[in-house]
Amino acid sequence: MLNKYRSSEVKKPGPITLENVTFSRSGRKILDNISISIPSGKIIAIMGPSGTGKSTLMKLMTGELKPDVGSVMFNGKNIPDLSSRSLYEYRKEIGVMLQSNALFNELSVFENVAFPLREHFELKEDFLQSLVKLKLEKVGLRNACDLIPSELSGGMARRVSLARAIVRDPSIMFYDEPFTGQDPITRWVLLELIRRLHTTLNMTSVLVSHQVEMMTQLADVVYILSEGKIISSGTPKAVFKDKNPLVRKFVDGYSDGSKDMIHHPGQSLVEDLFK
Amino acid sequence: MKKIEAIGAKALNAIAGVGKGAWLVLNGFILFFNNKRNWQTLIHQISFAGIMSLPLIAMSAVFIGMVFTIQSYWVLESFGAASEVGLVLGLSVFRELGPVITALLYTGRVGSSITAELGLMKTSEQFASMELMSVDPISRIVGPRLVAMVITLPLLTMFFNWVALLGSAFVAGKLIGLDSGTFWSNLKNGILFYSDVLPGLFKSVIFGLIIASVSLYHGYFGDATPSGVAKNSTRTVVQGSMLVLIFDYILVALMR
Repeated sequence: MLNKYRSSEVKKPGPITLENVTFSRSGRKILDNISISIPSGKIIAIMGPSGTGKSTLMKLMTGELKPDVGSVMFNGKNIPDLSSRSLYEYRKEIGVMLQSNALFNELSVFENVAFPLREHFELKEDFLQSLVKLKLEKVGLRNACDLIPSELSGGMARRVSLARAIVRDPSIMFYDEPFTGQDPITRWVLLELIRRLHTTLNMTSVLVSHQVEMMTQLADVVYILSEGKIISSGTPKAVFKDKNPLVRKFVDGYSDGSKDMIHHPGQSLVEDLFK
Repeated sequence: MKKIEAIGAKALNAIAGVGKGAWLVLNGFILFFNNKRNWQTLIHQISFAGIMSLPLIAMSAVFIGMVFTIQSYWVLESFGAASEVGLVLGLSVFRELGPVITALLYTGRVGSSITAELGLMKTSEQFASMELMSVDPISRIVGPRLVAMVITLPLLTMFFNWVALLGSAFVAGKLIGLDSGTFWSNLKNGILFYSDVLPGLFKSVIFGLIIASVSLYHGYFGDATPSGVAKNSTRTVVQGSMLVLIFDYILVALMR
């Protein structure tokens, strides 16, 4: 039933390919001439320190942002060039778990998960009930279906968001910082969940994260971003052993005292105070 | 020079704002009909904007009717025309007080609430998540609220008018001691549907459109920050009220 809506052109999802992508905001270059490929069926981690453009890169792939230069290709189509209607068609192929969860406050857990199904399909109520409860069972929240978002813990809200994102069986799943703000137990629960869903639903998974330990366990391919550029890519084992000083700083989590690590680019303190 | 530039920039922003607001309202109205589920949302919105506003409108109407009756009686009595109290009140309520005061109350209760609701949805990325689920928030969120506001304001205005008359009739008959038969018959003979009642209702439809445009614009395009949501709710009340009063004058001048 769920395959009914998929257009004939996108029966088998191809890889997403970004070529020479540059993106600036308020005159500042966030991404600088990036080229990467997201192969089908793999778990891809986009990693790097905060503010290096990881989420921006994901938003370019979901069509929320358009690059200044370059292309974001999926199944032979450039996502930034898609019309609103075609973009909505493309988004029926993907699931996105946002960092803020973005649950609808007034709807129950059940209705939050049922929302995309009610919007796009004319399903009989008992069938819809079964479908939603099966997805909630996958994330362990079938018995919490009557709660509202304000009654959920951070980890539960994240799992509801995950259930909602997978309810239409997407081909590609995007996770924006799925482990941020979660306690160690919940982090491992989420990791197992993401791995299990990836395998059982046969998806391509793209994770934006800065959690080195988690990605070592989970990812097939890792890209490390720094200052808007890819500074390392490959298997987690290879990337996390990379001798590039910027990679080492990020992976080992140390600061060499360089102000560049934390200061937003601009004029120096002396210039600011005495000029 | 910089001041002139700043004034110019503000003027351009205001013009762009009007354009964006018009685009939002037009799209909201057209896209409302694109989704069957919007009718269910519309009923919910009519309940919020209309039915839940009834106590506020009733309380305001009854006291305005009562105060206006006493004030009118004091003036009319000095001319020996105390029996015309009902007619004076009726004309004032149907032509002006009803549409304008209901619109001002509505801006405060419904307009500000809708701006805050949309602002908070934007802050918590609910619009973004809808877009990512291939659901257009202009169709599902803006459309039903727009239509509900345009429908409910005229209905609330009618309700205000009749409650104000009842308040007036109570003061005139029970407290002042005027003959209630005279009160109602003067009212019935003096108020004409096409020249007194209908123009007031037409104005309330326009006011509904204005309040909906202002509140949805500030909610949808406003800053997605806590202080932004607060400021935009205030802007909705201030700008909505001002525009209602300005358009009231324009409409009265045009309909005369």
